[in-house]
Amino acid sequence: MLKYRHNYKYHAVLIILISVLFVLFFAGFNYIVDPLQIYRKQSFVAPRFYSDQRFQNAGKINSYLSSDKYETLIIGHSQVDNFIPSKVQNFLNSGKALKLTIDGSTPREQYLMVSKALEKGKINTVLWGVGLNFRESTPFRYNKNQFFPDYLYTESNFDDHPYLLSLDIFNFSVDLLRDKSAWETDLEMLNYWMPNQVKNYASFSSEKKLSDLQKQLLKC
Amino acid sequence: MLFNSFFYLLIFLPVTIGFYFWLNSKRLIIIANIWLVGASLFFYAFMKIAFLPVILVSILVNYVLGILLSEKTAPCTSYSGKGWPSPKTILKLGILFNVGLLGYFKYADFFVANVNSIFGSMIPLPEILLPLGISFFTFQQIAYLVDRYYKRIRGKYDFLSYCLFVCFFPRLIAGPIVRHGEMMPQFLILRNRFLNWRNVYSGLFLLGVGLFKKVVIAETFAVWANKGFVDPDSLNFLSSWATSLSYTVQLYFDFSGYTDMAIGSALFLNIKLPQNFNAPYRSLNIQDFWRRWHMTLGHFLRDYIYIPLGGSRKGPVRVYLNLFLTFFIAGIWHGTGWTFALWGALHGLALCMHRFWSGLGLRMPKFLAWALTFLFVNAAWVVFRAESIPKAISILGHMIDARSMSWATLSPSLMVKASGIPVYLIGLLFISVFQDTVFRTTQEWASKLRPGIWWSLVAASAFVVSFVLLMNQNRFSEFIYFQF
Repeated sequence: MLKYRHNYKYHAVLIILISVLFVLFFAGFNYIVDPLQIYRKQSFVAPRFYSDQRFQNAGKINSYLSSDKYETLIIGHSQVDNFIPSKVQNFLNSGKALKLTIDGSTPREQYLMVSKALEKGKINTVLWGVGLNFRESTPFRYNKNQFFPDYLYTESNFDDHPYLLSLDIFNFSVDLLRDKSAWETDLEMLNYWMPNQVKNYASFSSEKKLSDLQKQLLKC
Repeated sequence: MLFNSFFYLLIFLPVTIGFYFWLNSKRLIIIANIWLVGASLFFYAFMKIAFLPVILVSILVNYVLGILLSEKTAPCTSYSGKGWPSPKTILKLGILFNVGLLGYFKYADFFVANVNSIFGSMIPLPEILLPLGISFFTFQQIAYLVDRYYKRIRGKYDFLSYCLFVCFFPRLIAGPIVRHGEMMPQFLILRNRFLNWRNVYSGLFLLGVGLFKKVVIAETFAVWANKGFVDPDSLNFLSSWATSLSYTVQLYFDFSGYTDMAIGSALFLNIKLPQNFNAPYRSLNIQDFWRRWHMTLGHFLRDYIYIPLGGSRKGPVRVYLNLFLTFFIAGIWHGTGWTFALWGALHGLALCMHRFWSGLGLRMPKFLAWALTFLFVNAAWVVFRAESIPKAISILGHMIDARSMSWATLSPSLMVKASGIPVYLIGLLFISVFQDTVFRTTQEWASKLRPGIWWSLVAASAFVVSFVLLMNQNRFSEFIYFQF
């Protein structure tokens, strides 16, 4: 040991080892816990889902689409969030439905979701909610006001370092393990605007509701 | 690609260096050079591939002009008088090409915007994207052509070596601006083709400390500086000083940190790049400042602008004019906007005043000289950073308006919580500031570096702390409900 004390190689390797091991610890921890389920379905804790769809949809596509045999896709921006997958599949009489909506999404982002889903799964029905802002947004670009994590949608894992080396993801991972995560547990209700009113869903379009609405409009 | 990214530090740098030395160990020296050029072009195109043709065209044109300027085309050789352009014409063409390229990409929008505002016209802005590092590789190639013309570079020069000279990745984006003779002969030394652990150790120290300066110090002060520069009218006496001093510290640690990383990266490859900063805020006069701040630019300005303009050889009036013009050009080179031109003009005027003062033979107490220099540099950075001249005047106005003093804006909410950095880190930052400006610079430390556990821990800690802050930048924040 003594002969290494003033050895350049020994000390250079020491600096590299400390730095690299530190990074590998974080990356390894985030890879194993994988809170967004990018690499695999959650197995050792109950799965939870993040509300930011630009990130979470990558996990849904990678780990749920093919294994859970989804055949129907729900695409669109935030207003389409309120389509509950099980209701949609009953209504369309189609196969199992998965929602890949993105709040404030441009057609470019929605196209990416559809193309990735068609690539990875066996989708035969797509419910595509076309919003009025479709023509206003920049159709061939991502929403410039939001960060889009391209790297989560590529085939290669080599570009995933922003995910693996993120303190946010580390904190999410710790919360998951400590069962302190506030993320949604139910894939059905993920991103649904009114989860507490879901029981009233069926009566939403009833005549009574419509007449109530008309009365309110007349008051205005 | 940025030096302060995980991809550069953990993937690009080790792979590039490892394969380069492996190729050299197999005596494949030309392939090793091709690898280094290829890696450098990948480094350049990583952020935007559209910029690649710009640098390639620039390299090709300058290389051809360099050949035309080589010894065969010297004024008294057989090429003269046979319809071949004279070396002077070739040099003028070369400078015109480089300045034209820089002017087009950097100043076209600025020019059209000013034409519109003066003549009330509605010419649409070309909205040209500025290729990364164009100011640096353009200046470097102008220097190459001038050195060729004056025969400071002799002999034939192959295209691969020229590519390596221009796009060597550690200094491609933000310098140091190296002259041919400072860097290229080092590639010809055989022992430099093999891994040198002493250089690796010094390189790691510089890379780690540079990363810390950039990610921890500069980016922390940037939070405070940005806050003030966004809304100058809301500032008062104290907060305007906090804003300007924060930017002064941010700029130095950002640029010198980046330079440390560049020098450290090159050192892994056994290439010693010139020093670019030598504790500039220690300067006792403005001339001293320019000998310590962005030193390679200072050398370029002196050798390729000030001296060709006539330097101090054409009488006292021309000296002042040349000094002013040199720094006015330097101001314009730094960026597009009247703020940069004014910043350059202010430095030009300050250098003229310093020359006049020196001519009187009067002496000033050291502390007063230091304070005057620092205050001037600090005030000039306000002009440099501000979004417009009126905004700069507003901040400078608050800085001299002691009546508007209020401690409220210096409350912890601005000084601590704004950056999310705990108080103890601020203490650490000030220690760092003093370490680099009052005691030794990073490169002074690196040059005296001997392998030892404490230095290794300093370097490793610098990496670890910087990595934590880099990891904190990979945000997975909640969607802000902003737009359907």
